[in-house]
Amino acid sequence: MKWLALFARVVGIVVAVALLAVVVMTPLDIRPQLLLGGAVFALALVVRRRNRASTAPLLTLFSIVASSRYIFWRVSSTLDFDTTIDRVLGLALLGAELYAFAVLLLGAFQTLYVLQRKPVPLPADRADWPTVDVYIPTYNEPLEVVRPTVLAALRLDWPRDKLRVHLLDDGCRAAFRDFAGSAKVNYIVRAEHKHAKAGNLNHALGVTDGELIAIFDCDHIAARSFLQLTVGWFTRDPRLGMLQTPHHFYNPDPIERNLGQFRRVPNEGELFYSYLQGGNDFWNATFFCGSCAIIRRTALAEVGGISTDSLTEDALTSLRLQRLGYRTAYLNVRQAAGLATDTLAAHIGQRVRWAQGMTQILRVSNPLAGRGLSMGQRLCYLNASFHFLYGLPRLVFLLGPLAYLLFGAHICTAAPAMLLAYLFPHLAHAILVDAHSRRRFRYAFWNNVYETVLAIYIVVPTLVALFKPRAGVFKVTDKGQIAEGGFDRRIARPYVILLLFNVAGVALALTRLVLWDFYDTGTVLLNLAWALFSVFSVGAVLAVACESRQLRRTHRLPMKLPAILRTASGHAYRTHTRDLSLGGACVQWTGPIGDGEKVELALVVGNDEQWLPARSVGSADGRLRLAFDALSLRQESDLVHALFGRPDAWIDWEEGRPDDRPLASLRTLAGQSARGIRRALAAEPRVMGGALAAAFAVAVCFLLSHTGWRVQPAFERASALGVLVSERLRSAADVP
Amino acid sequence: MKTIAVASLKGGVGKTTTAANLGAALARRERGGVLLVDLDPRNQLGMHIGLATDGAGLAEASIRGVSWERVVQRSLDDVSCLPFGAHRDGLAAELDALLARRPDLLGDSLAEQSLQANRLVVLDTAPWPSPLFDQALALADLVLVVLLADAASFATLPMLRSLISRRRRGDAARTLVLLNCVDASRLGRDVRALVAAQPQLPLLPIVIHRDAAVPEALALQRPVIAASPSSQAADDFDGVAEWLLRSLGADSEARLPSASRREAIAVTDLSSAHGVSR
Repeated sequence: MKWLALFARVVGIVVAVALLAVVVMTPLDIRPQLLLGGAVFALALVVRRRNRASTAPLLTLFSIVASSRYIFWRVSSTLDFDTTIDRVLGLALLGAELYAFAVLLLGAFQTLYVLQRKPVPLPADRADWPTVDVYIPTYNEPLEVVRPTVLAALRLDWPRDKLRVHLLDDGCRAAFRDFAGSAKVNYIVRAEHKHAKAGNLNHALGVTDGELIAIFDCDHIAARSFLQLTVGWFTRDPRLGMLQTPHHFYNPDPIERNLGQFRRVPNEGELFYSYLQGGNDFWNATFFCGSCAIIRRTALAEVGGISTDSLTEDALTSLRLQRLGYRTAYLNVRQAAGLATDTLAAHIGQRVRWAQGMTQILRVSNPLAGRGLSMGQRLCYLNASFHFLYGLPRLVFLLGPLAYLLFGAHICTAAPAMLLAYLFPHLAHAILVDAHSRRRFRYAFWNNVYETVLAIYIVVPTLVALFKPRAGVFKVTDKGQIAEGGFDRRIARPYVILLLFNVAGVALALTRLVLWDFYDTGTVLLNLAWALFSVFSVGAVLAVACESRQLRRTHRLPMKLPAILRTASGHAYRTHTRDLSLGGACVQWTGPIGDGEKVELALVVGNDEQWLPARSVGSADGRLRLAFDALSLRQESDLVHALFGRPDAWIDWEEGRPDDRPLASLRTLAGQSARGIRRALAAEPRVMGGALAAAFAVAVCFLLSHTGWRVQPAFERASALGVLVSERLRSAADVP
Repeated sequence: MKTIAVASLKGGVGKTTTAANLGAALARRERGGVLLVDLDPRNQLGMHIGLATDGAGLAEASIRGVSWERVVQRSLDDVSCLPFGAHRDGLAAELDALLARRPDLLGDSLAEQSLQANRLVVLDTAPWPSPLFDQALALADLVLVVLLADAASFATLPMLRSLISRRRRGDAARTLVLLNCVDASRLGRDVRALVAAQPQLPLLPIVIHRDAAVPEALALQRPVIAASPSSQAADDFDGVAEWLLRSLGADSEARLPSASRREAIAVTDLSSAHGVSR
């Protein structure tokens, strides 16, 4: 029976592969190809509308088939190059497309099934609950960023005798030591500072002894229920080595802030934490992300502590745990909140580090090689590393249309209509499948923004990491800086240049369409559309580079908590907060109150009241703004607890956000893109104007040199037009 | 008809103020139908709701054998009140003698038909120790013990417990502690935690906050919910009234949120929010 089943399986696979091969490889003429593409896409639209459990896999299948057909056709029928330039540029484009195709396939595999793990209860007897060490590593972050993290960790719901909080200060700062003393947490420093954060954590491993280790970056403030919701999996599964929860940020990252889309559009991290990690979890390939996670001490000891040979020591550590057969888990409940990077420069710096680190992993502990991993785990890690190599392909796509428009190179030797007939299903299905399965985690075309912002900066570090994996330096991302505001020229400059080239391409394409070209109209149109898309992409990056000013040191969170306000006269009033931050609050209040008047504010959380001294800083429209006075440690802890401690603090973060509508996303981003280009023009008028003129002149020269023979008829036409006009004028003059 | 006794073993904790304001809050929620009864010879309850305090009251009526109904007064804010009655020499001695003869005087007097029309009776109890205090304690469906969040109040708890267990014959579960004048102080917070933690006398989950609106309302001789409706104290009295109505209306044991129960609620909320699987 077993053999029979195996046989049936093999036969099934062979038949399926053969069928797929036929569908993918059968060449079609333009008309049947158009019909097929249109029909399948229509079918896909119908399937999507029905929205069943089978919808996502079906759409994915359509997408893979359409893309495979396109790629097969590209490789087999469009590489008939004339010149060396054509060949070089054409192969570059093909390479970029193959890369994108590979990412598409890997992504489909990674998210074949997105596991939605739920919390499990802890043992009934508290004696069976494990002891937990909470590590809060810090190096150069300001104390005010670290304080709430420590205070929140101290108030985790866990038996007091089984919870120890450790502040791991690699900066050996006296203020931190004093704070640790007054907050009664263990303060750990080390003599030598090798291997940055990984080294810091490993040192702490040696001087603590809890069964589980919960790690929080120094700005990740935990909810009181963090351990209650997560540790259950460790007591249920003794082979569970690591459990990760999402990283959630309560302030806008630079992209969200500068595009004004905070909480309205899923941010860059949501796709990973709400979707991809669930897919990883299904393959038992959850990545450790360095914070908001728990690791079992014995497991970590077996892999020699946190890995030190990658810039993304966390992912490498989980890979090594998995190689030893430890299970890993991802629990998608937000039980901590942190600070997103403040400036675009810091944002890019952080991503570049991730990209570099993930690429290093390909060399240091290649997931495809070595023992202990399942195929699923190998491919998930491969995809993660591979994904960060998008820099070069993206640049190829951004510059692609210029090959033809500026240099006259034919990098894809196919009739434009034929290209469209193959290309359209490939792109449309890819968008459709994302719009379906990622509709809540990433809106269409936003991927383009997130990746284009980084593309230029990511190329060199990833290539270096690929060829010299041990060259990288760990760079700490700055947190708690205030963005200065204004256009970040330094970051934007390469994109300004990209923009100029594409604008020149667009201008030339338009000129050709009107004046010169009678032969390649289709190709020109196609490249024009492509160049316009590049302009659109780069424009959005420029909009991101317009840093909007950040006025507040602490981030206000809209939050409706019942509250009591007691004025200096001893009157108490029932009210509620409208927003709250570590520095102050805004409460609903209509009574008269003088600026600077001292008040007391109680935040009512359950049956508990947390009283805080404050001062009025202005009232309007029935709202009173309060700034907290100097708080005692106890009061500060209470405030942190009210703000960040509630188990459901982040549960409805994206409430009211609609599912993705690709065309609406496109419209929003087009508006942003136009704004970005305007801002860039305003910020650098001379550079833009001069460079535009130069680019245009260069492009005209190229164009003339390549299409000189075609200029002849254009001149003839122009002179004929001139003759015609002058004759008309003359005859008009003759009339009287 | 349900009876709520507001009691205290210690002077100056705001027993009468609480009884008056609570009575007003209950009357507003119940649209009348609430009778405030002043069992305290100091006869100050009426003043809190703007009634004259120089007339005869239930003491005189009892001695003369007149129906209590004849001395009921009605306040501006539609609260019915039975005053104790103005002081005269010898009144206390005569009343004590009467009470000694009739241990059920309070219950019998309140059982009169016209008084029975009230759905709720709030007793401002006599200072302890006294026969009226004992009768009120034995009679009430629910006893509210008013305490300040301070050490002196906290120290009366053991005495209170033994007293309750003797007078209320195992029905101590319907005795609740109500904290008055709660403020931001560290001591207040600690006492509150201590009272909440002791298992014998459950703490009402709603407390009365210290609020200048309360003495100001007394100066106006109005209940605080009428004098300053937006104040925290008004909100607190109204909250207590709502809580009492709900727990008395349920007609079973007052549902007391013990510490363990609160925790259970929190955990259930959480697990439903996150969809805990088992």
